[in-house]
Amino acid sequence: MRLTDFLKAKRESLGAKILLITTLFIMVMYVSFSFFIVYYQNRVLKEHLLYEGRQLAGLTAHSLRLGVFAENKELLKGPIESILQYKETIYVQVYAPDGKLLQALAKPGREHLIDLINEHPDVRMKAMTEVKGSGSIISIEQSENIDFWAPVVSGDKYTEESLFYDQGPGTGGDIIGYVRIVLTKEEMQKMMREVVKQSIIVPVLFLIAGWIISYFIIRGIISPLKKLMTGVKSLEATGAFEKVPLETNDEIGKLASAFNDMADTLKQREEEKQQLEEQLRHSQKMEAVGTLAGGIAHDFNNILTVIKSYGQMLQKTGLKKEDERRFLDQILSSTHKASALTRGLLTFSRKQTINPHPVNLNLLIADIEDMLRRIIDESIELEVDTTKEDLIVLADKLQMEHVLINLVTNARDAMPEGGRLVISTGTIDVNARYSGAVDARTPGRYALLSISDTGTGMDLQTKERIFDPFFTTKDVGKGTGLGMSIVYGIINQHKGYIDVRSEPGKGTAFDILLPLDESAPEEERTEGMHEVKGGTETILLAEDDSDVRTLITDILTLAGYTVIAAGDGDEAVEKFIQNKDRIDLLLLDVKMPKKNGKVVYKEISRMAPGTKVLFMSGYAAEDTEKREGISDKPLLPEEGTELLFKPLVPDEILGRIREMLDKHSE
Amino acid sequence: MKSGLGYLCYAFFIVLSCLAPTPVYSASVISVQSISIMPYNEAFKGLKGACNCDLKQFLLSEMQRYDVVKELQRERPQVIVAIGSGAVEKIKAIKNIPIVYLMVPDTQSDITGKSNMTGVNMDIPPDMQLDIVRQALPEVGDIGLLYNPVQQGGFIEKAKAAAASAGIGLTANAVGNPRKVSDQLNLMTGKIKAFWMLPDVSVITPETVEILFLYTLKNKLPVITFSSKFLEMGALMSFEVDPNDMGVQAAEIISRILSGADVNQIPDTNARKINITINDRTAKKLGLTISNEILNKARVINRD
Repeated sequence: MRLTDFLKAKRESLGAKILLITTLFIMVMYVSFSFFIVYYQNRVLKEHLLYEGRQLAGLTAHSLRLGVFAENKELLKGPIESILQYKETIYVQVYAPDGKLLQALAKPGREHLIDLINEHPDVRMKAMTEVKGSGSIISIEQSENIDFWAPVVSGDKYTEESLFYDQGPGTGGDIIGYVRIVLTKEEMQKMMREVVKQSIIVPVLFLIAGWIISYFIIRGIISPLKKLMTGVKSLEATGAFEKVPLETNDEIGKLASAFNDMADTLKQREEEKQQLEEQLRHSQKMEAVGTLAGGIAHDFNNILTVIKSYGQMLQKTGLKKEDERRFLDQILSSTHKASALTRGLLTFSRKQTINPHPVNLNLLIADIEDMLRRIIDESIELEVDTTKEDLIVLADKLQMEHVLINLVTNARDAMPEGGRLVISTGTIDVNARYSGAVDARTPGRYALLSISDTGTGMDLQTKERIFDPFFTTKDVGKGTGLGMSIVYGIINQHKGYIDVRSEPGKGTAFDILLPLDESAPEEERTEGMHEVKGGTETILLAEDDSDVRTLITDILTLAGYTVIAAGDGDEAVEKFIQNKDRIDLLLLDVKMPKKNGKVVYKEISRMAPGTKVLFMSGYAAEDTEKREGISDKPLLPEEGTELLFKPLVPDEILGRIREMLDKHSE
Repeated sequence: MKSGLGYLCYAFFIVLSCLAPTPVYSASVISVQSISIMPYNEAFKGLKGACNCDLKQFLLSEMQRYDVVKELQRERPQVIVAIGSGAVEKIKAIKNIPIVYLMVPDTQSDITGKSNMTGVNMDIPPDMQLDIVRQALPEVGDIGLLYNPVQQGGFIEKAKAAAASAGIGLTANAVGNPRKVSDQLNLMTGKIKAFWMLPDVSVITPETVEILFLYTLKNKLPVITFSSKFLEMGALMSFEVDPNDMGVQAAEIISRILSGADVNQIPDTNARKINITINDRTAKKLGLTISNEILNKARVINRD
């Protein structure tokens, strides 16, 4: 089984395939070459034997001329014996022109050939006839021998003139006999066997050498590929990847380099993916937490509204006992704290309603400067450096105060041994070429608010996570980890940007950019500006929360208004139809079952255009609109609509209602 | 007056000159030569120098495209001179013009029995040759030779007589077929002290020459031959005619013919001058001492 697996693995191996192909190629080449060599050598040897035979026959015929002329056996014997010394000559015959055998001698040990060769008189006569006709040497190849027949030609006959003088013309010689030389092919065949043997051994040796060289060459090529393959498998199996060493700069090296780059990219992508997944999980978690917190806070807001409103109403009725007044104050104080907590939760979940108004940032800082000084220790020097220019931004003053308090608190904590805290303001033009510290992407003119300290500073890791929810560097119980996250959320809701500059030991600076709203003058708003003033008009109240509905009904009724209350959108529309002639104002909760406030208002507007309306909501305006599908645009800017944010207080409700009724009455 | 008589005398002399008969010795002679080799050229040179005639030369080796006989008939010379056997062979068909040959062996059949033909043959009389041999090699003893009875019968008879008078034993074996040369030579072994090589193409072939010289070398026999070309093959001595003198001899015959003598009446004659050549190296190898008398007359080659 193991052998089978091994062979299967080898069969699928590129190296084995290349090696096999190379080996086959070398074998084919060498076999072809060997065949060629054997064939060529055989031809050369044969041609050589024929050439030598002809030369030998010619020389023999010449040397035997006198013996043949004289037909003298003794004269013939000497030259023939000399010829027989030649190793391939085994037999020599000399014939007279008439076919008479003049002499026949065989090499010692080959005498038996004489009878054998003489058995073919026809062949002999035929050969002599052919030689006589051509006058040249002929060869007749047999299985084991080659016969050479040569004419024995006499010298040029003398003429009367040439007999006396050298210059006389010759008359040509006559054929005076024939010589037959038999050469054996044994030597040639022996050499051929040696050639064949060498042709087999040498190629085999070359094949082995070629195979070994090919093996090492292929191994040199395959080895980096194997490392690559191992790397790929490792990457596939574990996600971990060890870089393939770049040993060469050839195609394999470039492939390894590309693979390393690809692996790096994959690794980077994988990290990014994990980071994104982590962010997604975190975001989902935060969303879930936010939804939970927001939902709880919304309902809790309604409850607090009821408690707070009834408490205030009770406060206004005037309690006689000191203890009762103190208890009520304590209840209202706790309610206020609970409201702050609810606000924080809503802000964190981005469901905090913001109530933006044009605010001069410099004045806002000046207003809370005293409070900020109370927050920090005396060891910390606070420097406020605001511009003389008014920095009007559209902001929720309370939220911005929250931001400042939070950042100053953090600065204080970062300077336990004291230091310097600078709050400064300025302006910045962000355009396409802007490359400031804050990553502002929307071009425009911004107010810059910087809070910098000379505290311990932050390392890079802390700096990167500073705005993450639940991230804190403080001891357990000393921080919720929501502070900077809430700050980030507030700035974000104000369409602003925040960034941090910090290095360990060099302090920290927060830069906040808020879009300047230079078109709108700052509103002079003061707490309690709405005079608590009732009326006799009829108000259609639509609120799904029965406690809040009862509370508002009580507040409005006590203030002299006639209240028609409805528990959902349908009921509100229905009651408007029933009482449309006497309804002066619609007070609609945005979020209601069946029909939300916006839909209700639209239906009523169609029936009675110009009907005054005041919306109520516990969510941030933009978020409310999107969530409830009220509008793609902010609700507030729409003409004829106003928004009242929860938690509500009686004075605010009455003031805004009066304001709305009076405004539209003018 | 004087001048008129002078002109008259001059005119008379001219008329007499024109009327006078042409001298016979200034008549045209055409020399026909088979090839241009030194002996023949020497012969022509001797002829030209001695012949008071208008001599013209036909070189057959350069006239292969022509019918020489026709050309000669057209030219109609008074005498035709044939130098060499090839020339005789070529023009023997001409019967109406006297032919004088030279440098031709006596044994050639073409020159016998022709009424319009006479000349100088190359034969050196055997007595003359044997006399020189005896003078050169006083101790030579018996001499052997091979001959074709058909060709050399007459010469052998003369040779035998000359040998007898000179006190030399002559072993002359007849050879009808050159293939028998070896056998005949073997028959002479131990009987002769020298071998006399006769000019006969019916016996002398390249093979018989080799056999002969192998035989004489083996038996340490000096060879007396008719051509110096065999000296280089190991012969000791050669007797040759003098070509130039033969040319002079021919010129004398021509003169007689042109003088009106009948060619048929002029007998064939032998060469009168002999050139002796001796191979000194062979003599030394054989341990022979050539007499100074002959050495002084002879041309000696291969002298170390």
